[in-house]
Amino acid sequence: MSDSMSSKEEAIAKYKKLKGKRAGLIFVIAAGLAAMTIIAFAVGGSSVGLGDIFCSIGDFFTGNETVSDTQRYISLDIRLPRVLTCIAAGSSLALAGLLMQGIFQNPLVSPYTLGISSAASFGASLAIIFLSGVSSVVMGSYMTPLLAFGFSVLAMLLVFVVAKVGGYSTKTLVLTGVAIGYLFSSLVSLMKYVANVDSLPDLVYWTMGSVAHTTWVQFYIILGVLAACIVISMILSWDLNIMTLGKDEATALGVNFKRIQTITFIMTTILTAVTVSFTGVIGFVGLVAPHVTRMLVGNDYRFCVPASTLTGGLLLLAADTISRTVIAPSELPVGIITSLVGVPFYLYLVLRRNKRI
Amino acid sequence: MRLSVSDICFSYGKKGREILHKVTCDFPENKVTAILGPNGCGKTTMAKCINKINIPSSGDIHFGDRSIKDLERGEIAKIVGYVPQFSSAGMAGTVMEFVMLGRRQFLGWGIKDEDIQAVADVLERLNITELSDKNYSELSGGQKQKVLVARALMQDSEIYLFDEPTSNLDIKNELEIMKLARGIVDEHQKSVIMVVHDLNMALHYADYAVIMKAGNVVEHGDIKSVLTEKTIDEVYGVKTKIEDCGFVNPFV
Ligand SMILES: Nc1ncnc2c1ncn2[C@@H]1O[C@H](COP(=O)(O)OP(=O)(O)OP(=O)(O)O)[C@@H](O)[C@H]1O
Ligand SMILES: [Mg+2]
Repeated sequence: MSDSMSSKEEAIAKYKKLKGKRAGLIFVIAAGLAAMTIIAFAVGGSSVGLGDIFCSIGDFFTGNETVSDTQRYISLDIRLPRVLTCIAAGSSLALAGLLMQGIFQNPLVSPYTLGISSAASFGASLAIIFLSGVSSVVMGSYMTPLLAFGFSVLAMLLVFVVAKVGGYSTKTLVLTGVAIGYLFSSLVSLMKYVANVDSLPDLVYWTMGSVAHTTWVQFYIILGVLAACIVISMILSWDLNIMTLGKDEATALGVNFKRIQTITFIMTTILTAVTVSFTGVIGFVGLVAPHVTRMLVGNDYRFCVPASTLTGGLLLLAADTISRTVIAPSELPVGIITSLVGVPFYLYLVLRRNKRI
Repeated sequence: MRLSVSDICFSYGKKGREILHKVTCDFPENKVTAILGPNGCGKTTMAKCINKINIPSSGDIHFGDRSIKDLERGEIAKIVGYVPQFSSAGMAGTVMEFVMLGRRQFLGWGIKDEDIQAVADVLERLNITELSDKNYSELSGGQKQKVLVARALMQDSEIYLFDEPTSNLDIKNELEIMKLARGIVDEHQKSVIMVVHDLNMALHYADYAVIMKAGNVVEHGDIKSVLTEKTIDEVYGVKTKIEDCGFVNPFV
């Protein structure tokens, strides 16, 4: 009896230790992100160093002029928004992936599984091919993101409605999404086919994903959506934990499966659509970041929401920093770097998963 | 709490074949009730109706004098603790975390020491303390089943609904779960409803039986009086002989 008492205490102690370890890991990832941010500030093609960045920020608040106007411009209007947008975009994709994997009970699902990236690409291609002349006059560079966003949301509505007609199970949702994704990707191919020599490179470049031309406005929009979704996900943590058990068990434990699934679906759609609209299709962050996170801190959403967002930000920032330094002063689209790192990792996960079954 | 099912019909999907045809039966308070019947006759389907996982197309289900239609999901989770026949849980975390989910209706956002204590108590009660830090998805079938029972116990409900809780268990664990069911009824004055296939176990541990065949309830009542050789022949088409062994343990 005393033996079983001690092993029970042991079980409790182990669980508490696990929680402590996870909190510690989140702290480590946060520290990693902070370090990466400083590195990203420091490196770059132009002659602006870390010191100049901080001086510029100081100038901005104090009104002094400790650095030149050019240095201040590069710091405040190019590098700072780029770095911050990168973090916010990576975080958004990671959070979207995390939420999708949870409701589909499948760790191999990504924010793009339901075809949102193809739909966004199609919207962007319309703007790039047909409106490139108009856009400079009317809405400047906002036509592409607007159309990309519009088509993303439209595609997801379509998926939702079709899946609803088909009984709205998780399975119909995925199958519908995959089908609609194919539809839009063939439309994108069509657009590439009809595109002229001037617009084709722009379109191709867009579909590879880049954070090179981000602005403060974009950052604030992505950040706003991200912040709202983090708060909602954290509040719903327990329901999301239970959702991973599937519809029947979630229902039996008192969770309104449909409601949470719908909320999650809306959150992932907006997170992904907003991010993709501004950055193009950046692959694998949304798949890999949540996955790494689950390995590190487990499946409890109270831990994996913050851990995933931090990891996503860290990954994309690291990839972007590499993309603008390897062939400096020129740069690679960040989507290429994330995929190059992402594909081998993805295969490793798939193989590992199959081995376990 | 008394549970009564009246005239429920159910089919999967709008145009699907009707699985339950005007099923009526009741599950008395403070008893172990066995749901018996051949494979595919609708036992799991009925269990899911009791849980509001399946919503019947007609008829009603009452807990005491409250209709299931007026109850929120959260309220039902506090009334019915459920062990599913199969669990698809794939990303469930450790056994400790998995069992904790049963406590959803009582948890705040953070986990308090008493929550952890409660889970540890239940794991100990089922003799699975040593599994606490294992991943649920890496357990054996029988271990999973016991963990599912533990999770249902965390719901601290009035009625426990076990769908074939012992199908993967060895004889020792099977007896343990059966005794647990008796304990829930005899010591804690609650009700247990369990789907079982082992008629010997049912006769020995259950008080009451609901016998189903092809989506209908054939008989329901005191198990000794409804589970007869004639009923077994009618329902399963198997000739048997029920011998009264008195208190002799029928498993030896
Ligand atoms: N999700 C579902 N969709 C469609 N039909 C279903 C579904 N689940 C069960 N059925 C059908 O309903 C009928 C009753 O199934 P149910 O699972 O209730 O049987 P059961 O009595 O629990 O059987 P068993 O003893 O094998 O567990 C079966 O004919 C089955 O094919
Ligand atoms: Mg069944």
